[in-house]
Amino acid sequence: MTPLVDLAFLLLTFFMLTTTFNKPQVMEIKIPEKRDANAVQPKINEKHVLSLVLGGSNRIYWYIGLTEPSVQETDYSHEGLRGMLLEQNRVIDRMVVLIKPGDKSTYENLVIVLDELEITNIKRYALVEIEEEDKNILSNYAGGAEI
Amino acid sequence: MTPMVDMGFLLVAFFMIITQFAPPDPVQITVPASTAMAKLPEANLITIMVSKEGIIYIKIDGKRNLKGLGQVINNGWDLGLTADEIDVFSNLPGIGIPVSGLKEYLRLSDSERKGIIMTGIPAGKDHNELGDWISYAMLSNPMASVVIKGDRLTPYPVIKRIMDTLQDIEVNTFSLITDTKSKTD
Repeated sequence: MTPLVDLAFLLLTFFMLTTTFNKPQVMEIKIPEKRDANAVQPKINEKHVLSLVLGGSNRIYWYIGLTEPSVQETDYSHEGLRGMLLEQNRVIDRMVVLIKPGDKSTYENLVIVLDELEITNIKRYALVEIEEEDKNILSNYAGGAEI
Repeated sequence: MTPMVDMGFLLVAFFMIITQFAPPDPVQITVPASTAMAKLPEANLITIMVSKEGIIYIKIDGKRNLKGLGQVINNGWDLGLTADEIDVFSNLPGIGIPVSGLKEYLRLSDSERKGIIMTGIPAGKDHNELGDWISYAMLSNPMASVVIKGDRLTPYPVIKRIMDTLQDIEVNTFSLITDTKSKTD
């Protein structure tokens, strides 16, 4: 009898340890429909636009507008990205965030940014490509930008 | 003693039934963490897996769904698969090779197949099979939803290609699988 009980409890422990009750979490993404290149894009005041360029080595460069903005750098920490987003969201009326991931950024960088936008309750954002203008702005950045 | 043993076996039975040995993934993936709380649906998933090297795999859950897809692609791409080969297809844990090599791949024995290095599903601008895979998978199972399971270190351009592909085939809603973390982490 005792060996049987031993075996039963061994099995019990095994199955208890192998069972995973928690299922993976998912983040839902909705992307806009594809539109043709000639379609008219909505225009917004550049003073409301925060560009967030995701660079290599977990660096983030950000600036407001496109006319000779001052480029600033931050990181993915709470004080860095989240603090900056909260601060700018307070200062800028109807802020629109443009996420511009560079070729050297990783999937995790994008997920963190999307998550921080959700946490800071910023609803107006878009995922866009880095344009020539952005490259020019970043090439003047004193700290040297890796994108 | 006997009641305790009874209870012991009851618990064993319970955990045996509850445990589902997840089918092995074709590649080891460490997903990034987020505070998203939505749960992954139980079934009808089309999972696009991306390794940190940027190799793209597609995984369909459920043997029946996979068999349905096998028949659809057989007609769609005119692969000339036999019923046996479709059967082998329905047991694959994931697909990570170009369509041109699929028939050869299905003819191999199980052990030979394990030795094949997956080169990934082509998703480039000029030659994109990923979009067709997803379209066929949606066609064979209209209930399916698309999820992306990417490694945290996957280079962004690969993710961009996948999202552009999904946009091209008008799959505009999808989910990213993430690990849990709290807001203060």
